[in-house]
Amino acid sequence: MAALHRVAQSSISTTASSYGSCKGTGASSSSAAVVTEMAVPDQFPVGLRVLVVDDDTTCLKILEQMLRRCLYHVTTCPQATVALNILRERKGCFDVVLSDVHMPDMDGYKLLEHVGLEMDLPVIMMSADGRTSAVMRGIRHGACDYLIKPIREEELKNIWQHVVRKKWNGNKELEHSGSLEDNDRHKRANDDTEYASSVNEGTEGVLKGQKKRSSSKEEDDGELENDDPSSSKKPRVVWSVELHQQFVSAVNQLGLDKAVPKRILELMNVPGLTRENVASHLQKFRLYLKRLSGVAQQQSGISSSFCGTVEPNVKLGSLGRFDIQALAASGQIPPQTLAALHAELLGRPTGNLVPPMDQPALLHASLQGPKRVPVEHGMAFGQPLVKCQSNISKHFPPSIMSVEDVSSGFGAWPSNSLGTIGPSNNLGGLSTQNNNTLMDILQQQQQREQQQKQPQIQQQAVLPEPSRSINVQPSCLVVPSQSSPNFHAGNSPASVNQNCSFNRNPVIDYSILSSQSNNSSLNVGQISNGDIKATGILSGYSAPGSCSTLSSCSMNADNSNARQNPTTTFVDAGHRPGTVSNISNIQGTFGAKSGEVLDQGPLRNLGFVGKGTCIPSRFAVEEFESPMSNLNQGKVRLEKNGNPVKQEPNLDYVDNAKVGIPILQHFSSNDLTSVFTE
Amino acid sequence: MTDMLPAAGSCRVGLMSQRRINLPQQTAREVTGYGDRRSPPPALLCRGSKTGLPVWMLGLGADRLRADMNRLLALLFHQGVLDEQFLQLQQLQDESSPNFVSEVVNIYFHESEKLLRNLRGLLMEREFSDYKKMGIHLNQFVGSSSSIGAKRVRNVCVAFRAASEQNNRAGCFRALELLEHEYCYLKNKLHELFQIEQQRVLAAGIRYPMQN
Repeated sequence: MAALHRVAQSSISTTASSYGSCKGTGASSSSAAVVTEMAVPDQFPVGLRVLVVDDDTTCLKILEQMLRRCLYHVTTCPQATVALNILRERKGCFDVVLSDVHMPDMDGYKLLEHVGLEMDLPVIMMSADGRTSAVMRGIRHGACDYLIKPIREEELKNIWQHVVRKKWNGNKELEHSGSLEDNDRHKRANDDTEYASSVNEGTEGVLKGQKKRSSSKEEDDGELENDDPSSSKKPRVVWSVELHQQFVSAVNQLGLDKAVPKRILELMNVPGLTRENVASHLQKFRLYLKRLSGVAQQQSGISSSFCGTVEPNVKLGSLGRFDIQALAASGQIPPQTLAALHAELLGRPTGNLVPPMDQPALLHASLQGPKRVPVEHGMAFGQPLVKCQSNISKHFPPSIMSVEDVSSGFGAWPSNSLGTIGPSNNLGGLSTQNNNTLMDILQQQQQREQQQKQPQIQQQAVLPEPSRSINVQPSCLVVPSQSSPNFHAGNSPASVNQNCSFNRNPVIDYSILSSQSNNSSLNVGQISNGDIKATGILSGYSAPGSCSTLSSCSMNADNSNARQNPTTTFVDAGHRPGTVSNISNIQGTFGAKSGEVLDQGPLRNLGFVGKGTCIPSRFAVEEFESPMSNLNQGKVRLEKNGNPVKQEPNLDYVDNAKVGIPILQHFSSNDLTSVFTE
Repeated sequence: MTDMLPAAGSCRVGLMSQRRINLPQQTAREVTGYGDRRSPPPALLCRGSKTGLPVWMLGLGADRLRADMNRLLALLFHQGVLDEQFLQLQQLQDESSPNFVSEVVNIYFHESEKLLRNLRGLLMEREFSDYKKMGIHLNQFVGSSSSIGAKRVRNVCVAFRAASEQNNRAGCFRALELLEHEYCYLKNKLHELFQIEQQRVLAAGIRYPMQN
């Protein structure tokens, strides 16, 4: 502890200065007071402005006195709603918030969420309820500490550390977001794990291990609150309500997937705000969205299934890290995407845990198709893909492995997403909606696959490829990751979270495409294209606001498609099966389809090669305009392909596009039936 | 020496009325009572026996009262009624808030009685009590009780909470009875403590002019 103090002391001056500056940018009103405090950095903890919220006046009074003894500047408030108003009115007037958990007017967690999102202050929860579940909930909501009553003066003497830590983490984050390329793997890994942990709440138990590991690496003090993801990742700028609204509108304007900090910053056009500030806030925003949705899921009882998923999580976690790093290295991926990836990666495992019971509902009769079948397809196909892509040939075995993993994972996955349980991921969307979206996605994928024969798997493979280059094992995991985005999308359409996941995918793809396409490798380009298309459509689907981003994605996709289509007939076939497996529900039908596809594969491919370029382009353009157009094209394509079954899906697809999510069931039934009939 | 006493005595009475008015400011440091070694009581014992006034009025009983307080506190600690958190509370009392402990404890009593009423009401309501609400009340009760160091009340609250979580109606009733009993005991004892303390403060506040 003494060491910690010393460290903190040494850094106090810097934190103090940053303090003042950020406060100034965020809320000019309070900056003066802050600056004066900063003028005497030697006494840093003195005058720390603390807001105490507790409906228990006894505790409130004691805390007030204790904090006063610590020479802090104390403001007390017996009501959470009043406290929130105070915080909003006097932005930047507080350094840290102490909040009770159980309050009649507003749950302490709710207050915590508001504070975390709007003012970016460290919040310390306190309660007499010291049960692990309660504490976990607090941490999950972003509390930087959780004090169990009775609270002792010694504990309060230390709360300034959260303020300092927040500043520090803010700085760290700035560094990271500013230059992701810097090869500080260590740090990045830590961050990644943090994100992941924060994102998928269902698997928290498992994640803890990682967290602890990372924290111990990062700093010597092993306190859990230190690596609390949400709190540690917040920027120093005070995000006022207006500022946040500006931010949100900018994000909406851009579309969540295309919402890159730089562009958001341009749109917001706020003087003094830096790209890093926006980047970190964007992260937080996404995490927040996930968190919100995740809470609902937890309540549904998914958390109970953690233990089973431990193994998958571990794998995914480690792999995920590698993948992300690889991606970051290969292309410049914004931190948000990293976070999203992590979330998705981690989220899957929980999905796997869920029994495939749900599949029936989705697939209806088609559920019978064994999961393993898709896996096999994936295997076979996976090899072709590898062959086609000279670059990936080295990773051949791993790729196969990955396919298997994915398929297996998928079997469970789709079921999860389809099921009411909902994905363990943050997606808060309704289960039914999820199903619908999934169906849509699946259909879309099918259409695409059929039409273009560019498998989603390839798209998914895009992410893995980078990882492959680095690690063989990661590739396996990588595939799932890609697939997971799709699932997420499906799951999430109802909620913003889904958008996030989508966005991330597109973003990633985009970056990869840009770099890869320019550089060369057909494989990458193809894969990337596939991803982009899929994501682009999906995104357009789910979030109309993000047209611009989608368009850009689609453009890239088109380009890549043109090039890739000729090269990757095999790949496509392989991918299809893969996708089928991914869709698990449709697996049975798809398995048949895939076979058909394989037979027809060459023909289609040939046709595609010629048409491929054109179609993709259409896709892109149409996507911009509206999902409907895409659907139409899809139909056309299907017709060209000559697959009656496929046409049906397309039709359905159109319907889906119009209706949005609700039509999914029809879709699925149609698709399934058609497939089966075939 | 003896000649001076009557004069000194009359003088003392006049002084005392003044002193009383000033008591809060003057003796702020000494309100903490037990464990507070910053302001040892003035040594006036040698003269007290000759005035005929009540011992505490002469300030002669300050030490004795302090001893009484300590004894009572020791008893409460020994019984597990209080724990060291109460000492923390006492240490929080200073010049800026001379009556901090009694203020907080009175707030606590006030809140607790409200909570007890609510709890009893919830339990009596119908066949099915609102255990969730009860749990929230009990959580607060645990929090405030532990914050002032009312250990036994807190422990009973925890047991109560456990019973309410299990929807154990009989257990809740038993716990409530026990809680009320513990609460009354605590309240009586703390009142006793504060009374002694008040006397001690008065006694400690008396000073002879010559000593000043």
